[in-house]
Amino acid sequence: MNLPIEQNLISLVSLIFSFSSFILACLIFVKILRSHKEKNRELSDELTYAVSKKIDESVEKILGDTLADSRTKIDGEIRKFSEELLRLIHARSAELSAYVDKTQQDQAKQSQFYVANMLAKIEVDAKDYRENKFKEIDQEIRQIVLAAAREVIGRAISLSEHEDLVNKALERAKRDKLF
Amino acid sequence: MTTKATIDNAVAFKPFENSIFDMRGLLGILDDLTLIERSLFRDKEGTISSKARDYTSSGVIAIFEDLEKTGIEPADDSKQLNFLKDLVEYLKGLPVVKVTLAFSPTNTYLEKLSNTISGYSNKKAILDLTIDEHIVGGAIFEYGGKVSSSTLDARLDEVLTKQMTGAKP
Repeated sequence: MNLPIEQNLISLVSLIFSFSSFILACLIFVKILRSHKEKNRELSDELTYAVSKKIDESVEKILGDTLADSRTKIDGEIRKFSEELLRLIHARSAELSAYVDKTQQDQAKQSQFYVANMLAKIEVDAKDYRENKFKEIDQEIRQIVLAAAREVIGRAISLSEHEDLVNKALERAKRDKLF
Repeated sequence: MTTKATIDNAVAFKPFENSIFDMRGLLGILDDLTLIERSLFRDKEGTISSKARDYTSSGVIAIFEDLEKTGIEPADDSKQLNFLKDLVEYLKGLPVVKVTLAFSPTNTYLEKLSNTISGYSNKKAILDLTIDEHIVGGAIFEYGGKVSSSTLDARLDEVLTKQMTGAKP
């Protein structure tokens, strides 16, 4: 079982060699791996760019089509709305015109009726006023004449005439059975 | 007794009644009688005229003196007082005739008017006289709620109305 030293040494050197080879191989592998990773990254960036560009183009196309379609639809709706609005305005205008005409006619009738009534009332009032004034004037004349007559007759009657008038009044009271 | 007293009073009151013609005369005699009534028992004796002479000198004293001569007047104080009270009540109860004239009558005419009205009504009537020149002439009599008017003012009014309305008066 005892190996000579040379043998051991050879084994050791062999072992070291093997180990070194292993280390070297690892380093090479790591290097290769890094290189591959960088290459993959470059490929990924290119792919991303290409996909993004494609998406942008698609979106632009879709949006463009949609906008064009919407514009057409909106224009159509606006045209329809404007036409309906015009129709309504015309209809309302006709109604309003008819209402105004009817109101004017009614007011004209009412005015004529009012004027006729006022005229009749004024005629009656004027007649009443005239009659009342005549009555007032008659009354005033009557009062003036009465006052003058009282004054003149009152002064003209003597005491004995007064007494005679009272006696006659007394006889009449007796005839009237006052006592 | 009561009947006799009533008859005596009716006779005794007549001279007082005859001395009054209008409200002024009535109020004057009522004042005199009230004054005499208050003076009757002030330590005096005798007739009413003798007791009242110191307080009034109106014509009512003369009427009492005439009554005393006929012996109708009561002798004692108590009866004299009752006599006066009855007289006042009697005079206050005399019928009043309201008369409106256009002039102030003389006393003579007033007396004549009062007597004529009293004759018509068969009882003494006192005249409540009002002077209103607006009636111009004639008179208005009011008695017992009735009125009789015969005035020149009414006649003038009537004539004027007919003239103004174009009718013949």
